[in-house]
Amino acid sequence: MVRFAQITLIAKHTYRSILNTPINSWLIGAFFALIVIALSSAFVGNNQHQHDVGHYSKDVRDRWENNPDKHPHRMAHYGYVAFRSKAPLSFFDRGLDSYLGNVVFLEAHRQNSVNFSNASQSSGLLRFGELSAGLLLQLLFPLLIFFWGFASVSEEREKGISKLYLTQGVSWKEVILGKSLGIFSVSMLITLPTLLLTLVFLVFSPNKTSTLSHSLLPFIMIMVSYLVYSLIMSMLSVWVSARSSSSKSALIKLIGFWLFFVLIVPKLSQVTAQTIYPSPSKIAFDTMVEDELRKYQAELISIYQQQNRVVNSMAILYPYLAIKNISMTFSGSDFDAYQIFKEETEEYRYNLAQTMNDLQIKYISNNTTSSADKGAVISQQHWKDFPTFEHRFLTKKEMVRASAYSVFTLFMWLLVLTFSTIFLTKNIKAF
Amino acid sequence: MIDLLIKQLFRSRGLMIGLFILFITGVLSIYVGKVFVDDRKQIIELTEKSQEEHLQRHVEYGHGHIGLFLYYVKFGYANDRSPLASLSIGQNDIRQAAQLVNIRNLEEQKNSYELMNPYFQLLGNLDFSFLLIYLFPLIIIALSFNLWSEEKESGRWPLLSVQSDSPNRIIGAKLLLRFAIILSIFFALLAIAILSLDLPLDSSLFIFTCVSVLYICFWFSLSWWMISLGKSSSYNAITLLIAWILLTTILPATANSVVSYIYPVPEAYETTIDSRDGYHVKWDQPKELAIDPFKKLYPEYEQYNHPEDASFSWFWYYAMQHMGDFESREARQAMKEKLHKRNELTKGIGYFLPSVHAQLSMNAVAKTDMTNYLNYLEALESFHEDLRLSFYPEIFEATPIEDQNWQDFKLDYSTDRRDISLLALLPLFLVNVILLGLTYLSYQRSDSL
Repeated sequence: MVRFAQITLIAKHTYRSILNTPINSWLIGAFFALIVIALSSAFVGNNQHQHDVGHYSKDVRDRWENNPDKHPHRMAHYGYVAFRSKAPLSFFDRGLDSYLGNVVFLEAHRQNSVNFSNASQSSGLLRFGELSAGLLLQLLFPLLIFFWGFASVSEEREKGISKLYLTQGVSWKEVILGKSLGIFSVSMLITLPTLLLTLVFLVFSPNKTSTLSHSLLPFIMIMVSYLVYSLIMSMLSVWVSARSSSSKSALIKLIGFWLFFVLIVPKLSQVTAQTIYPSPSKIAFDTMVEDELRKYQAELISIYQQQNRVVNSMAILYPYLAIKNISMTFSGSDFDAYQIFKEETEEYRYNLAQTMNDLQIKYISNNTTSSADKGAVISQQHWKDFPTFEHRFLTKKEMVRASAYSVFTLFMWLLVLTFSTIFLTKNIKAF
Repeated sequence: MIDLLIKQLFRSRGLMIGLFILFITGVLSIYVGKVFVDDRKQIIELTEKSQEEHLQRHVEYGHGHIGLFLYYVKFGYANDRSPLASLSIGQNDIRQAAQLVNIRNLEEQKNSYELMNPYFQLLGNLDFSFLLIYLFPLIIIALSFNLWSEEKESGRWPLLSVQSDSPNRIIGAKLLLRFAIILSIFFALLAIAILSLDLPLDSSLFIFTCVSVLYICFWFSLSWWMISLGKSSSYNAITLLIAWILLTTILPATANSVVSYIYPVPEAYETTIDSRDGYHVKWDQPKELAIDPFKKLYPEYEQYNHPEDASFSWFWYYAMQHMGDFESREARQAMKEKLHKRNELTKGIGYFLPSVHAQLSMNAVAKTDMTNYLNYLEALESFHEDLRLSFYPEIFEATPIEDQNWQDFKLDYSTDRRDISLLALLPLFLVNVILLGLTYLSYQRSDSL
């Protein structure tokens, strides 16, 4: 039996005692300042990117429409240049954005690669990570929570305070839940303003690549996931504190977990995934695909997806990769979003070639021998009639599907931690 | 005395686990490096084979005109790399080890990247440099943050100080012991790397080692300074941890935003559009618009002409292909300059951030940095030009394909012969001197109290 009045009391006490420590207000302020810097710089960067995309897309369109009357097959060769837009919420979590190409030349007979990712133009700093609200909340925020939680139970035990309230009839599960909620409420002093600021940016964003109402569900998913994530981290820190012989050992354990599961495991799982599902090198791919491009392209994508599944499955061991994945998907900067872009460009390229082909069949007689013949020319009005390239982002359904496993894992974590707090706390030492 | 200190250290189980994880991860990182260089080797072999087969096939196919033959065949150009790339992969995971190019428009061929799962790029490589930049410092912090404070907090310090003339020496000895342990792990890993990766014992390896050791020293100096200030264990722990987060994540990431904000590269888009327009529109234009400027560029081909009334000639075709490249040169040049500026600014920032400087120096010695890539691009451009210029007369004269000995065209290499000067060590050396000076001063101050 859990008594809510007791839990609330402990939570309030924990909340107050954290905020009464001067260093904590500094830490909260500094951390939030970092988030503000990260959010606004990513926001400005995104708007600049969208501005460039708009500018060059218009340039491409003008050049396309202003091509003189000519043979349609030449237009198919002339082709189109498509630019990748950033999703409206991607300023919150840049996800894979910097590692994905931004521009692709679409021409008949040839499938070109999407070029010029930010990574390809980076001087090497990118490998240290990118400042974004997502990164700060996923990676560093747990450290802050651990700092608040590592001594929560162990210190009171060391000082003999635990004995006092346990003899007064408060149970361990109430202590752990109460303290977790207390720490969680402190963590909300960072998460809630961050989310609010994100929402403000989203509403006033000049990036109108998709409607606000379309971004609302992703935003809510992001909000819920980060709240659950920080609750999990709060519970974890209190749980470890309760299970450790001293505060020092609790801190070492928590930082050790973090170090191992956040810094090492993702990289290790990448090596594992590449070993289980080896992906081809560019040259191997190029030599294979000379005949059946589409088939091999699909194969490569499915290899990548299998690899990603291996990596994401590690979220069972630690929720970091789960939140990373959820955040990326709903910010519109994940692998699937990129895949949509590639499919759309491929479809556009195909349509362009087909349309030009149809125009040729319809308007140009079979007697012409070369595309340079005077009679083999059609009006430039046809170029204007061909629609411009626009790309869509993942639909809500696709996002939910792409993140289902991670969402499931995250909630499993919450469930398991709650369950263990309620049922497995009888044998915790009181002194 | 020393054996007691060692015993005390080895009794701490958490630290032992930490050292063990460090060592195992180190061995794994060497394995990752080995896989990486083996893959590269395989890629180069495959490119070589592919080029040979390609040439053979097209010779047998008999295209008739050498212009048509050269439309199809490709020539391989490899970026020769240092064996040290296995320890510091840098950006080389997305750069191609070798490329196949034909003699047509280069702009649309040269920007091709190694295929790599973008998610893996985000997660980053577990290479030796990662271990050094991220994990070593954390272990160093864990080993040393409470050396003095713990003695004071446990009440042992007054006892220790009356037993010795200079109690601070004991702290120094403890720290040196930890330094020795970390260095032995580092050198053990380095020895494994040298043996299993066949690293030559040359000046590059020497500089790589110096950078690593100085970086390790930096974290010990920083910890020592922290210790000497005489604050509590938890104060030291959190301050050092914050320093680690700032130096390995927040400051480099901020620097990255600043660099890309100061030097945005929209020229990448411009180059793509310009080079595509540069030659595609030439199909609709009078042939002179491609031929005249081409002749101005290469007066040695003055005697060749496009046959009047013909809708196509190989002379015009290759002139037009090259003029496409030529017309996008401004955007391309601007882009290169931006990338150079990004590179220089980053290096400048590195002088103030030991983590960034260490990483950049290791990448530079391993030739996996931006400079190497920019040099390779230049080299690829001249490789392409040499090929073009050697084939132009053959194409314009329409010499028979069989006149050339195609099997002699082998994969070519660009070599990066940059010497990395010992000056690269200076920033790391200076920061150590400063920190040790500060430590000395703070001990002086506490002694005089």
